[in-house]
Amino acid sequence: MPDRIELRRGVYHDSVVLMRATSQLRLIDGIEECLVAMATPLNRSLLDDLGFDVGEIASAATSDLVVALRAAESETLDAALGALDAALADSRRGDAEAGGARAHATLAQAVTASDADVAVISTPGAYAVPEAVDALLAGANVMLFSDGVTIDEERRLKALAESRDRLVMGPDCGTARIGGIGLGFCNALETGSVGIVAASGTGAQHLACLLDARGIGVGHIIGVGGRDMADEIGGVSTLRALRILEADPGTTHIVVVSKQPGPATAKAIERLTREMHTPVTFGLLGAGRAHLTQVARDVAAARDSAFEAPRTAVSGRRGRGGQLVGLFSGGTLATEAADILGAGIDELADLSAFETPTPAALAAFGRHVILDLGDDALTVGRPHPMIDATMRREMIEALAARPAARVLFIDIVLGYGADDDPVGAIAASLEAFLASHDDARVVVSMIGSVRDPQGYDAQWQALVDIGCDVYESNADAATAVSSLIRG
Amino acid sequence: MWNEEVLSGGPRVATAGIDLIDDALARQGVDVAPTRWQPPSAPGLAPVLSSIALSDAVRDANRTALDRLTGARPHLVAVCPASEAVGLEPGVFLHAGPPIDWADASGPLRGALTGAALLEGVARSPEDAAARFERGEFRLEPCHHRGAVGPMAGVVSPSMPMLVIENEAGGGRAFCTINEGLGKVLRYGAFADEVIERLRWIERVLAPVLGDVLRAAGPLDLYAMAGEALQMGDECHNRNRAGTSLFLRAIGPHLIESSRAASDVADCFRFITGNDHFFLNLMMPAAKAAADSARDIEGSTMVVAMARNGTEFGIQLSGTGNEWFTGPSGVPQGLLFPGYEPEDANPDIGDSTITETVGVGGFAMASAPAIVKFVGGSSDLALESSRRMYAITLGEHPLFRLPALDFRGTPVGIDVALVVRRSTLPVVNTGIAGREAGVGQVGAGLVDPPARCFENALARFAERHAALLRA
Repeated sequence: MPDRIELRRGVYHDSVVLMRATSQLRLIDGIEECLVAMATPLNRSLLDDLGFDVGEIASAATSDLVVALRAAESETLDAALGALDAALADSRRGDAEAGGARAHATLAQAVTASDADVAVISTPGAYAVPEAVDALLAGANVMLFSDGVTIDEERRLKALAESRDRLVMGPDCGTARIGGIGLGFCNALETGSVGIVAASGTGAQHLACLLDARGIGVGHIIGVGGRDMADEIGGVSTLRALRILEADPGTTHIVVVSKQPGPATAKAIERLTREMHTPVTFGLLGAGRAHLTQVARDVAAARDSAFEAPRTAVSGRRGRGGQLVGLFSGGTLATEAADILGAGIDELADLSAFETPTPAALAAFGRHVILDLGDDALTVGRPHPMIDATMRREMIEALAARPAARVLFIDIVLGYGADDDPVGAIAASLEAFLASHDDARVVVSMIGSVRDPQGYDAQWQALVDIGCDVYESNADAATAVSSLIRG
Repeated sequence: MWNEEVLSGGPRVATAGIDLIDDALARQGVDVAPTRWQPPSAPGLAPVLSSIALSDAVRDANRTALDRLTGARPHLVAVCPASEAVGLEPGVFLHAGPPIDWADASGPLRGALTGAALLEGVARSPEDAAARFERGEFRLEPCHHRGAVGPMAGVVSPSMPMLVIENEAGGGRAFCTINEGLGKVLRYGAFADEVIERLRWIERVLAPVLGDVLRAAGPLDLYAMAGEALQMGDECHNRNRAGTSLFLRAIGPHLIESSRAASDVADCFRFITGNDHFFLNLMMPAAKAAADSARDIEGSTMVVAMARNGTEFGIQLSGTGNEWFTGPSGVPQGLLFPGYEPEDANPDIGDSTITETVGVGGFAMASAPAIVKFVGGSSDLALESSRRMYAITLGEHPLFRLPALDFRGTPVGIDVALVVRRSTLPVVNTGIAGREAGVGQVGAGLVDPPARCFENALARFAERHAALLRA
C-alpha cells in the first residue's frame, strides 16, 4: 500500500482551504486516507495518528505544505494530486456570482439607496406596520396599499408620520397619483389641475376617469385610507394632503371624496379649507347624499365646464325583474350601487349575510345581494379581484349553472395594476350566464380612461358583444338595475 | 416634504410587497427600488412586531443600548485566579452557555468538568469526578452569571488564571481563562494528563509572566487590536491569527524585559505564537465587557448574550434582565478533521458567540473570506453574510470596519425584533467539538441558532413591556 508524502516548501494556503481540499480528495475513489495541511505540530501529530511516516517531513517548517495520500494504486495517487492542484487553483479564483437584479434587503435600505420620496407597501396587512415605520424613519412618505391594519396601529403610525413631517396614504389605499405617476391601481390620465383627496381608491378612479373623459384634467390623487376621516384618526392624512395641494401651484381645484367625516374631523377640515385659497369641492358619499357621478358634475359646474352625459350601451335583451346579484371588485362602487338600489329594494343583502360566500352558497342564496369581493375578509391570502378574476369567475359560473338570479351587476376597472384583460378573464362566464336564461341581464360599470393599457374601446366593445348593458357611470348603471329588478 | 420637483416630475419610489406594484410602475417608465421582503419567522408575533415598531420608547432604549455597546473600550488590565477574579468558591465550576445540569450535559462539557475536577484535586480519577458530579457534590453555574465567558465548554475552576478586562468607557469588568491552544485541550472536553499538565503550566508559568507584562505595559486596548485585526484577515472569532500577532507585538518588549527565567519567558512566547487562537480569549471577555455595559435597559430589544452549553443555545436581551431564552443547539455544518465523521460532532457549544453579539465573528465574515471555505462557499458568500446581518442589527460599529465593504462598520447590536421580523438568524462561526468526552476538536464550521429562542425572547419581552408598548 503506497503512501505518498510531498512537502511543498513555502507554499501557504489557508487552513480552511486545505481542509476543504482534503475533504474533496477523500471523496476520490481509491483514496483511503489523506491530509493536505501546513506542517504545524498539530498536523504532524495528526499524520502520525493516521499512520503516515512523519520522518519524511522531519525538516518541514510550519510554512511548508504537506500532502499525504494513501491509496492502493499509484494511478489513484496521481489523479488525486491532479485534483488537488485544481482545487487549490480554484480557491484563488473565487466563484463568479450569478448576476441579476439586486433587490434591497430591507425597505429602509431601498428608501435610503434610492432617496425615495414615497415607499409603497403591499405586504400582508399584519406585517405592514413595521415596514411603514421603517420607511418613515428613513425619510420617505408612505403609501400603505395593505389592508388589515388595526385602527389603533393606524392612529399611532400617523402620529409618528406627523412627528416626522411625512404623509401616510392608507392603510388600504389602492390608488394614488403623484406628479403624473400612478401608484397602485391608477388610470392613465392626462395631467391637469384638479387635485383629489380620496378615502377610497375606486372612488378616486371613477371620479378621475369621469373628469378626464370630459377634458377636466386631474393632477394629483392623494389617498388617505377609508378611516382617516373617522374621529379616531381625526383626518391626519386628509389635512396634510389638503396642505400639500394648497401649496402646489399646479393645483387650482381640490375635491375631497369620502364618506361623511366624523363630526370633530369635519370641523377640522372645514377650519383648514376656510383658510385655503384653492377652492374645495366636497364629495361626501352615502345613501341620500352625493354619488361619484354627481360629484364629477359638481366639479365641472364649479369650473364652469360642460358635463357631457356619461356613455351607455344598452343591449337589446328583454329580461326584466328577478333576483339581483352584484359582484364588485371596487368597494366604493359596491357601496354606491347598494346606496342607490337600497332605496328601491326592501332587503338588499351583503357579505354579512354569508358565513362563507362560496360560489355554491351564492348561487343558492335566492335574495338580492351586492358583494364587495375586495373586502378584507375575502382577500386574506388571496389576490384582490381587480388583479385576479378567479373568484368572481367561479361565482358567475355557479350562477349560470343554477339559473336563479336574473340580473348580474358587475364593475370592470381598467388602469395600471389591474388585470391585463379583465373582460376576457370573465367573458366565458358572462356568456354562460346570459345563455342560462332568456331573461338574464348583465349590467356593467366600466371604469377606465382611453389611455389605459387594456384598451378602453376594446374592453367596452367586448362587453357589448357579449350582450352586456355597459355604463360609464356606476350611478347610471345602478339606476338602470334598480328599474330592471322592479320589472 | 413634497417639493415642486416631486409634484411636477413624479416621485422616486421604493417598494415592499407584491410585484404588481412594481410592474405597474415599470409600465409607466418609473425606476423602482424594490425590497426582497419576506414574512416573519413567527406570524403569530405580528402584532408584537407592529407595536414594537411603533414604540418610540423601544427606539430610545435601543439607541442607548447600542451607544453603550459600541462605545465600550475594553482593556486587558490583569491576570488573577478565578477564585479572586469572579470569587469562585471551591466546588463551584463555571461553564459556557445557559444553565445546565450534569445530567443534560454533552460529552465535551462533561469531559471538561472532569478535567477541571482533576486539576483542582477534588476527584481521584475521571470516574470519581463523574460520580461526584452525578451525585451533585459540585455546583455548576454559567460563566455569564459571573461576568465571565469561556470558549467551547468554557469550564472554569477556582485555581485557573483569568484574564481581567475593564471597560474604560463606563466601567465594568469581564473575565476569561487563557487559551490553551489547539488539539487535545480542556475546552473541547479533553482531560488526559497532557491537558492537565498544560493547565498547570499556564497557572505556574504563563499567568505570572503575563501578570508582570501587564504591570509593565499598563492596560492594553483590545478593541484597538481587534479593529486592526479585522483589517488583517481576522473576523475575531474563528480566525485570530492577526489579533494574536498584534497582541504579541504589544507585549514583546515587556516579555524580553521580564525578570523571570529566560527559558520560561521563551516558552511563553512560543506558546502564544504557536496558538493562533490566543487572542480569542482576549476578544471574548472584551466583547463580554462591552455587551454587559448594554444590559438592563428597560425597553431594549437588543441581544446582550448568545451562548451555547452543548445542549442548548441561549440568548439574553437587554430589556429582560437575566432571563435566558433557549432552543436546542444545532450541529455546526463545516469541515471535519481527517478521521472524523459527521456523527462525531457535538451540538454547538461555547460562549464565543459573544463575538457575534458585539458585531464581529460571523458578522465580520467579509473580513475573513477564508472562513466560508468551511462550508464550501465562495468569498462572495463571506461578503453576503456580513451584508445580510445589517438587516437584523441596530447600527454599525465605529471601530470595527470591513475593508471589503468599503470600510463600512460591521453590523452590530442584534435586535431580536428584526431577527424574527426578517426571518434572518445571526450568522455564527464556530469550532466543532467531538461528541465524546476527551476527544477534543474535530472541525470547524458555521451554525444556525434556533429561531425559537429569538421568538420566545420576543414574546416574553412583549409580555414584560405590555404597558410600555401600549403607550
